[in-house]
Amino acid sequence: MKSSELWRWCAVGCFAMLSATSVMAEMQQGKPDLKSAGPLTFGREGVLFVGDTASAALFAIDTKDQTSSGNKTVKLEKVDQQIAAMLGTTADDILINDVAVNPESGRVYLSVSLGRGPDATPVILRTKADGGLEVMSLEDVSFDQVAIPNAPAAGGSGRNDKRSQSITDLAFIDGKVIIAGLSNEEFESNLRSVRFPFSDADDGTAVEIYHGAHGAYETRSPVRTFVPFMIDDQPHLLAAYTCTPLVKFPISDLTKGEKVLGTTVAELGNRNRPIDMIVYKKNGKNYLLLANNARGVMKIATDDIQNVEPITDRVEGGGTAGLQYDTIEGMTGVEQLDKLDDGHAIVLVSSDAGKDLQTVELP
Amino acid sequence: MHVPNCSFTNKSLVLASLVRFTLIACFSACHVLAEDTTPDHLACQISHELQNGHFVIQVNGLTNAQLQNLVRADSQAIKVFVQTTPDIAMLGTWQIDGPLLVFEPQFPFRPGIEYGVLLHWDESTATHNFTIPRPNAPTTTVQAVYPSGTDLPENLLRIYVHFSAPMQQGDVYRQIQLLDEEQQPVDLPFVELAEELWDTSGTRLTLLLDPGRIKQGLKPREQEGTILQSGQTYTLEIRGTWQDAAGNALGKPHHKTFQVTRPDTSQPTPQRWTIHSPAVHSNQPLVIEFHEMLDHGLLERVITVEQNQQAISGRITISEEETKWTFTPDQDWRSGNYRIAIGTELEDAAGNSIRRPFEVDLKANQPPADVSQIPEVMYIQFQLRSQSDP
Repeated sequence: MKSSELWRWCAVGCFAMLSATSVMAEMQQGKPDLKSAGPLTFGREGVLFVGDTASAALFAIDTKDQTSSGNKTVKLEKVDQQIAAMLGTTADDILINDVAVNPESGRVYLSVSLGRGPDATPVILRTKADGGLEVMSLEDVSFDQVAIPNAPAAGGSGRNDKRSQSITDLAFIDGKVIIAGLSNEEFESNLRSVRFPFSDADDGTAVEIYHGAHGAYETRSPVRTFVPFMIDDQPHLLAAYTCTPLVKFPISDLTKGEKVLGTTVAELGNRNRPIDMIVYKKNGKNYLLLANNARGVMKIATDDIQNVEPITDRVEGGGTAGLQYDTIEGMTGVEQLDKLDDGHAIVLVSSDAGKDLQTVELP
Repeated sequence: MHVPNCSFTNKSLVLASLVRFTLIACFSACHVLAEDTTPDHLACQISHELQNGHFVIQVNGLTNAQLQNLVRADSQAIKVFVQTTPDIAMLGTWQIDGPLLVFEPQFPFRPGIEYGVLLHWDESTATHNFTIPRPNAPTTTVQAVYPSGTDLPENLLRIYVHFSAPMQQGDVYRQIQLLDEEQQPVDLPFVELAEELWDTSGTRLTLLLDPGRIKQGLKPREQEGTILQSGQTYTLEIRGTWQDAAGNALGKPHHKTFQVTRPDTSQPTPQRWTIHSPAVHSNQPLVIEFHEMLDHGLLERVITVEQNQQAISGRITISEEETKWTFTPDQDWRSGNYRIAIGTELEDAAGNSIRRPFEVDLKANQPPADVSQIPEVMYIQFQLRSQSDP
C-alpha cells in the first residue's frame, strides 16, 4: 500500500497545521543507522519513511527529491539482476522488499536487502532521469527515527527472547505514519501509529484490530496490507487481513486502547493473498487495484463502498457478496504496486526470467 | 599467498610489453581464486588487499598518463563486474594512489561470487577473474520443530522451525511444504508474507497456518476446507536444497510427521496447572505441568519467577511436548515468598491465549470475558520455608 497522494488531501483542510513549518526543521543530520530496509512510503516534501524490522524502528529520511523528473516512464527489465550487479552480487543474493513512488518527483524508490541472512545490508535505490538506477546515499542526510510503539526491544530481554515484529505495511495520513505488523509469536493484531515529526512525548498509538465473521465469531486479525481511503469525506483505512477479507474502518477509530472491529466489504476467497494495493480514479469512477500473490491483480469498483452492505451472513451456494471485483488479464506476477500518476502505476513483476520494474496504464 | 595472473587481449604488443601485471592475492583470512591465461611477458600487477576490513583491488605497473586516462574513463573501459552480468559495472570508486590504481567497492565483495576486472587503455585490454571462497562452516541443520508432539490439533496455528545457523531468507515458502497422507503437497497452507517471520538471529522461522482456513465462516475455509483434517496424517518437509546465510545447503531434507486431532478451542488455564515446588536451600528446579501443549516460543519468554517483585535468574527448559516448564535457578532457593508471573498472552498451539480464545463464539450462552479487564500478568504465589525458619 502506498499513501503517496493521501497527504495531498490531508493537507487541504484540517491537517494543515503541519504545513506551517517544514518538517525538515525537526530532523537531525547524519547517517541513519538502518539495520534493514523494509516497507516504504512517502510523506510530505519528499520525506521517505522506511520500516526497519530488524531494529523495530521507523525512519524518516529527507530525500531532497522534490523536483519532477519529467519523463516518468520506467522500464527496467531484469531489475533484480541490474541491482545485484551494481551491488556486486547475483540476483539470488538480494531481496527487493518494497517499491514506492515519490509523488513530488515521480522517481521510484526501492528498498533492497544485500544478502539474504540476518546480517543483510539495507540499501535504498531510486530511478534516475536517464531511466537508470542509483543508490541513494545515506552518509549525510536529514533524518529522524522512532521506535515502533509497543514493539519488542531489539535483541530481546536477554531471556532467550526471539520475538520480533515484522512490519508488513506503512502509510502516511493525517500527519501520522500508520504501521501494520505481525508478531512472530503471539497472534496479536495491533495497528500502530506515530505522529510525524516524531516526538519523544508521543509514544504512539496501538489499537487491537478484530474481525467479525457473520455475526457469530470474532477473532483478532492482523492487517497484512492497507490503503488510506476517503469514504463520505472521512479518511478510512481499507485493509486486507491475514485471513483474507477486505475491511474498512475510519481513521478516527484508531484511538489508543480502543478495540477496532473492521467492517467486511469483500470476501476474496481462497488463494487470494493480497500483497499490495492502490486507489485511483478513472473516467470519474473510483477503483481499488489489489495485487495478489496467487490470483493476479484484481480491480474493484469502490464508488458504492459507503453503501455496500457489510458481509455479516454466510454467502450460500458459492455466491459473492460485498464489493465485486474483476481479475485483470495480462497482469500476472505483480509483486509490488504503487501509483505513479493519475493514469499510471509502477509494478514490479516477477517471472522465471527475473523481475521487471515498469510503468503500466491503470486499468 | 596465491599469485594468479590476469588475461590479456593484446592489440599492441609494443605497448603491452611495456606493462607487466602480476596478480597478487594478499588476504589475512582467505585467498583469491583466479584464472590465469596470460603469458608472463604480458602479466600485470593487480593485488587484492584487505583495507579497513574490506577488500580493494590495486593495479600496478601503469604509467602516470595511463593511470590518469583510466581513472577518467567510463565504465566500459575500466570496471569490476560480476561474471554473470559483465555489462554492468559494480559500484565503487577508482582512485590513483601513488603508482597504483585502486578500486574500492561501495559494497564489499561477497564470498562465492565470481568477479571480473576489465581495464582497457589505448588498444590493450586486461581482464582478471577471481572469487573469494566461502568460509568453511559446519553443515547447518534443522535443530527442532515445534510443536514437537506428534498429535496436533486441527486448528494448529503456528509452527516454529529452529536451525543451527542463520538461514537464507526471501523464499521460505518454496523451501517448506506440507504433505498429506498421499505425500501430495497441501495447497497454500501457510500465510505467505514477503517479510517472513524470523527471529533477529535468523535461526528461528515462524510459520502461520492460514487463519482464513482456520477461522469459522470465512470463505477460504468454506471453499477449501480446513488445512488440517482430524484423523489424517501430515508431514512437514523442509527441503535439503535450502541454503543457509553463508550459501551452504542443508544437504538433506527434514521431515516431521504428525497426526491431527480434534480442534482445540479451550484456553490455557493456570488454575489447572500442577506446580512442583523445589526444596529450600537447593537448586532443584521449579516445575510446572500444564497438562496441555502450549506455545514453545512464548513459554521461553512470558513466564518468570520473582522474589520481592524482581525476576530471579535461572535456566528455563521446556519438555514433554511443551507440556512441562522447568526453571532451575542460578543460585540456591532461599526461604521466602515467591511468585510465578505469567503473561496472559501465553497461547496454546491453536492461538488460544489465557486472555482470550482464538475465536470467540458471540452466540454462545456464556459471553466472553471483557479482555480489557483481564490483567496482562497473572501471579501464582508460593512459599519456601526450612525447618529452621521461625
